[in-house]
Amino acid sequence: MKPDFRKNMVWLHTYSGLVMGWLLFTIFLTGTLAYFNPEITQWMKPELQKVSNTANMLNRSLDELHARGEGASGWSIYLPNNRTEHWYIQWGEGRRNRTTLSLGSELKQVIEPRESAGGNFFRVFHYTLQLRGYGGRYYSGIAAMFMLVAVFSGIFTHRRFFRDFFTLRISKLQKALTDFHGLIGIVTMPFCIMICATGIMVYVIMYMPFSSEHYVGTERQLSSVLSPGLEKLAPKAPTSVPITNFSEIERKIDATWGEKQIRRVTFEQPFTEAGRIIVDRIKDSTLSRQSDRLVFSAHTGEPLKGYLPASTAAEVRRVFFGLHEAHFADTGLRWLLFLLGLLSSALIASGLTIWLMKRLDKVRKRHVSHFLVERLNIAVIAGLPLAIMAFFLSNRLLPVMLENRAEIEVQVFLWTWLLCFLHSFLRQAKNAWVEQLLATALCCFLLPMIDLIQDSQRLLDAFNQINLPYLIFTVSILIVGACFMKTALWLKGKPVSNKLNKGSDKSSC
Amino acid sequence: MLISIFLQTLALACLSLAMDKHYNAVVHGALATKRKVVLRILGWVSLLISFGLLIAQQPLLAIAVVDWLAWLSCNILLVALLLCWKSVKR
Repeated sequence: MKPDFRKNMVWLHTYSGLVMGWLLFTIFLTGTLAYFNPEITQWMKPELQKVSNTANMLNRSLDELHARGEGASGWSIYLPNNRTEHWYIQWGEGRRNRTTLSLGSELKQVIEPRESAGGNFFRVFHYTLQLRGYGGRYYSGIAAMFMLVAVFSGIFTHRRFFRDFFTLRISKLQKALTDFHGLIGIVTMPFCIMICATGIMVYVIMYMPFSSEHYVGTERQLSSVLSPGLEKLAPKAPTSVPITNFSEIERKIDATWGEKQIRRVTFEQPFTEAGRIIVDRIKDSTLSRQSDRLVFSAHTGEPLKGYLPASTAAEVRRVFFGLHEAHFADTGLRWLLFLLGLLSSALIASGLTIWLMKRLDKVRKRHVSHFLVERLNIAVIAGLPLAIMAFFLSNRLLPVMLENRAEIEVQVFLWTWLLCFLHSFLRQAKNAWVEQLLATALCCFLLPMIDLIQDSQRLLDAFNQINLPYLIFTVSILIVGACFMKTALWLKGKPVSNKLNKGSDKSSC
Repeated sequence: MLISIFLQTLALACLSLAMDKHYNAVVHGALATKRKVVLRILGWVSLLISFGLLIAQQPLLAIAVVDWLAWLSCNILLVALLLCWKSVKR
């Protein structure tokens, strides 16, 4: 008998989606939040105020570095941009052993932002799953592969792919959900393929170690062969003093790149003769992850020989990486990508819910796997947003001077999520859905209120300075809260009789 | 930019109306073959124009393509929601 192609595809779609669905939902939702990494950090560190981008910033940073970083083997200056007001300098030995200082807009002003995991937590979590060193990045790589499989097999699963284009029928719940799943599948397909393929490319050397073993030895060596860096500088005793005035170099840079194009300035071995300055351009005008770089002498300020061009393979990977991170995106495109990310999460969530609904409709007696899928659906789809909100709440509620504050925030996130799992197993399915959704909505409403009670000056300042990241974060949280509230109330009003435990939340991801 | 996006929405709306089912839902009547062809051509041409407009505005071709695709995805959703709303209202 001829094997039935479509049947096989349906099977593949169903089970690749089911096995990895929860992990994928987690990765997609946290990854989507990571699009607003600096903006979220800006909100989580409210001490950072608006810094007006004056021309004198680089020289002021340089003065501070001269005063504080005497004899250090490395200095860096990070300038604020339109996404974050964080202006800071670093000095110290190597990469690990560094001191960071945040600067404020007034002369000699130093800012001490609270310790917080910030938006970066979402970025790191979405590929390491907080399991760095325990194979976290391999799990997310595998999940990305599964997602690609699910997307492609999904094209064949939905029989009337083209005839149903633009179709959404909302007469019956299950039909609506299936249509929604198919429609969102079409809408987000380019996005999903792009995100998964580029996500795999980010760690491709790690996922396929064989080639590096074959050609050069270790994975790190392969990277350095593909994209050559500058020659190594030997650490030596201080012999000379780095420049004190950056204006000359800045003029040269402005002549090449145009104004306000500097993202970061790094000094390597500033106190030796061979010391150099590496200037990174902002990433607005390139798809690649690696923006343009210029190299100058730290001693005289003269231009030095720049980076050698990377190999084509490395360039391709950089562009893939850049597409994944989307640093090039302006505000409009960033919101679009964010929306597509949310829709993809909703796609996965609706797929998981459909799997359960279809089966619960047919069976008389529930199998233990039905129970398991049902509870995991609740704990992941409703529990993860709750855990995220708990993470945000902990940022405001934990004492500011607490030690290891950033780590504790992450702990709060993980423990809340674990509690959601327990809760979903202990309660009736529908109650668990409603309660977790309501709790999330409550947190969403509480968060701006707590913020206001703690320090009403913050919000006023944000208004006065038109601190957009801060204001938009607050408004978005309220909108998300309203969506969760509405979903929860709608679910509560539904009769239990049809024993379905519906939970996809179209509007609120 | 805005014109380009609006044109894209319009293009997708035309393309969706060129499908019997959706035409029926909006206009209440059978779709003549001639009109179908016109709608199709109109749709594809305005899609092309919207792409051209975006490229003309954005200095970098690569970013323009990303922009256009992202808008395309969202516009498909928008048109589908509009059609859904239209058929519910009836």
